[in-house]
Amino acid sequence: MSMQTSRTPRGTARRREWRHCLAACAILLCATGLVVAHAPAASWLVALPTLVMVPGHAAVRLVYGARDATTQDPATAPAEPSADPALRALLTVLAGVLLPLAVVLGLNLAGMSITTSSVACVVGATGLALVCAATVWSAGETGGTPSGPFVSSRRKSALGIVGAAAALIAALGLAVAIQPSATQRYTTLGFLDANAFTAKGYSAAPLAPVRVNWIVNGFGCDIAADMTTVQVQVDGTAIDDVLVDLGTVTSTPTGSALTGSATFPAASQTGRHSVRITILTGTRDGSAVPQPGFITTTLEVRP
Amino acid sequence: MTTTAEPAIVADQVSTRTSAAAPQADGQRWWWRWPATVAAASAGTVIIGLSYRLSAQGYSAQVYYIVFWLGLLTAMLPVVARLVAPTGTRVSRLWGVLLFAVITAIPKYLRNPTGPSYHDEYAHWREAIDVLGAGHLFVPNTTIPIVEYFPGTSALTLASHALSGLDIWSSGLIVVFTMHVLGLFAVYLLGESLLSSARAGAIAALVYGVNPSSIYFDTQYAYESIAINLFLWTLALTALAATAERTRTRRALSCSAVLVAAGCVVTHHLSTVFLIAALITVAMTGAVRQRSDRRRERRDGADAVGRQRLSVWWTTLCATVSLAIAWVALCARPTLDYLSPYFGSSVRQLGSVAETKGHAGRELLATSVQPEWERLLTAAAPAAVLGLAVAAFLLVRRHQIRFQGPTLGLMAFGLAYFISLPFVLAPSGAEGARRSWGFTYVGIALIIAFVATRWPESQRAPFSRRWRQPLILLVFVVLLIGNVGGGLNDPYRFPGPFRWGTDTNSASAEARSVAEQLDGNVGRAWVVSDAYTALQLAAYGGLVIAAPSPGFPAWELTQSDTDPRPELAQMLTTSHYDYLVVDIRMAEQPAFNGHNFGQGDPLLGMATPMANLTRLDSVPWASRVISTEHLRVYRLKLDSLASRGARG
Repeated sequence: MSMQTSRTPRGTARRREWRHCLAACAILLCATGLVVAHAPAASWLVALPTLVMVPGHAAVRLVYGARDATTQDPATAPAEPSADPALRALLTVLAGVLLPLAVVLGLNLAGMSITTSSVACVVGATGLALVCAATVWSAGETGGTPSGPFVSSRRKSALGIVGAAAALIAALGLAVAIQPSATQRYTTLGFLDANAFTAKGYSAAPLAPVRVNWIVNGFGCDIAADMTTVQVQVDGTAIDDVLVDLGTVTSTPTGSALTGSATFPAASQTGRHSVRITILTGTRDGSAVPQPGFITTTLEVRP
Repeated sequence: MTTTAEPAIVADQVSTRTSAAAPQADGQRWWWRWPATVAAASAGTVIIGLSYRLSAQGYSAQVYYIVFWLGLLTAMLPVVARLVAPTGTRVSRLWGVLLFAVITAIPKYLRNPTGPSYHDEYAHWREAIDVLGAGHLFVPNTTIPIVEYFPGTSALTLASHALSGLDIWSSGLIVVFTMHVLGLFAVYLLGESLLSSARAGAIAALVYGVNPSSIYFDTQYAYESIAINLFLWTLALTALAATAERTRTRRALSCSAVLVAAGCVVTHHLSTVFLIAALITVAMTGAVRQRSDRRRERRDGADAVGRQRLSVWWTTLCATVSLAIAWVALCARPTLDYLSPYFGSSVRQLGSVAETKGHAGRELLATSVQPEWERLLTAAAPAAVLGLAVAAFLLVRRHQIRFQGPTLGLMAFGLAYFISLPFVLAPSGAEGARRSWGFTYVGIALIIAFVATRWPESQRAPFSRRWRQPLILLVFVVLLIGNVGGGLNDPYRFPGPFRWGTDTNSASAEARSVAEQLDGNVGRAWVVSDAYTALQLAAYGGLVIAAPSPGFPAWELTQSDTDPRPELAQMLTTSHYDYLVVDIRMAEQPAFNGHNFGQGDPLLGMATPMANLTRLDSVPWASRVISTEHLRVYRLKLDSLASRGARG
């Protein structure tokens, strides 16, 4: 199937093409602006298809030429692939997906930082270049109004497509909603002091006070400070002379956190000693909560 | 008399045109049928969700498997019936392929809609986050180190994230979903182009859409899920280019194919290997066929009907090979080291399986809760495919059909599916064999589409027209259930209560919190941990996880009741592996996957003795710095053990 030249006077056709070009450029600029300006997420959802489809469409038009579909039977595949509206629609999406891939790879190759703004700006700029190039190089090729799959039935089936998409999305939403959402309840216990995470651990002079800071995080539960007890063992022996400081319980997005400290005298003998901090905690509502157990560290007693 | 595939297919096109001759009537039927099809798809989606709810609540596998298949078949069968019907317009089939593609993406989406759950998903999700944080590609990845050198997935995810404002996970899902839909259209175009019929294209897309990898593995957020569709598009565009009459169109399609192949090269190594293999098969078969056609022309004085331009296939092949070599040489040198052990060891293991009558091999569907009927269909699916391949062979012989080279080449490529089947018995080959099916099934799809559309109309032929549609639907159901059953195991397919030793159902919020807390305390630490906790530590904490091996037996820390040997202590110290993370549930039951530290685990198939874990609280070389009910983080202090080794 050969391409047919337009019956529209050349000047009018070119003016129409440039009007389309300007409209596409304006849409691209708006979409890029929304992304760069960090507009609310809902408006970005409009920007994504725009920044994919408009450059993709321009790339297809540039590479394959404008499509003259006035003589085409929409029911069957055209003899020439480039005249197939379905193929062109699919290539538009494919090109629209591959373009950002090329942009990100290009940014990396150029040594530029890959950020939301840089990706959006370069995709937008590339899209503008493609739209203009497609308008210039395929000028005069276009014929009548495109028709065929995805295009001819567009107006007729728009309601059907929207309805089908809405039904499927609603079903997906319902399927997600019926999943059990049991919140896992657990607690974690850890040191707050950086030296507990080093190979050396704590160090102190004989009988000098040693302060160990810790944190208990409650997930899915409200920890109660007054229901929390702290035990300290040094070399396996419980220490009675412990000053426990239970801070206030703070709320976190996932539950609650309790920070505190235990201060006890270092051993009188020099050398390395093992220290174990055991914390038993409870909740405000009195419900049982999985206990985090204990944490250990070493205490180097030096003269 | 010898015929080519094309003349009869021209007749098929004519019939399509005839059916479209009254577009209004056809359109009306199309309209009143679609709402029912979409309603069925929606209802099926909800039923699939119900099956996941039942599995998550710990119901019997017999129950949730039945509910799952009830849902998927409810969603699929109406659209499948529409696609395989002998009547119907191309437009109707294209919409059908779109709906079918959406339905095939639903089970995986519902499996874990809000975050990563599969092994590869953790790796790619973390890679995208790290790339976003670093502002450049090629960021090291601890879960799958080779991911660093194939940045296509993270680049596309970042672009999607940048342009949509959605979080990284949702942005990745959008990319995977878009590519999945595009991929099935590529198979449609391939089938339509090579078998010259819209119905053949639709059936090819259907068959490909139910390959063992399609519904779960190749819809996960990972590089293969994207690259395999670029693989399909490269083949489809090259096939279209080969049939294009106009030079400009041919060049445009050919250039597009090369660009898409470039996308495949930068995204996934294995997809590139299979793309090259497919292109070589097609080009070589085409060359042989071309020579034989020339001999026939000289002998019979007949012109070859509709000969395709083979040079287009050679162009795509040469360009893809050049791009792949350039990429590996310049950007992804470790690829060869990464891939070569799989090929070598699987062949060796397959040999040993044959010699030892299976003792060295794998037990298929071991420790599976799959119902018996699904297991039977899993075995029946390859048999059905084999039967259809034999039917295709008989059809070709009886009617003396001569395929064009590319069609024959892709079908021959599909026959590699049967070669790969024995490899599922070899421990190393099983993964590779399973991974190959997503690629070779494109040839299988063409074979089945050929049989379905070219079966003789004669009443004397087996399976007369009256029975043909039900038979096609039956074969589809066997392939669907059998292939999904033979794809991924139960914990990958269904959510469920905590089960130690799976990539998916061993994940816990507790492990995630520990990962984040350790990252918050010490930053990007180097950690020794079991294979399951490691996934979450790497993904959520960005921690660097040790990869134990016989040369680096880091598993000794928990899989032995003695202190680590000085050599190991030295390796751990010099490499700055300062932390050990232990989930005590590894002592409560054997891992579902059979190991806690990969195939080199000295306690394969066994639970770790609890004594090995409790002794960690009394050894001088470890301090428990973070603790939960099930997880413990130890700060390792192996200097003294290491120095003992150095002195020794």
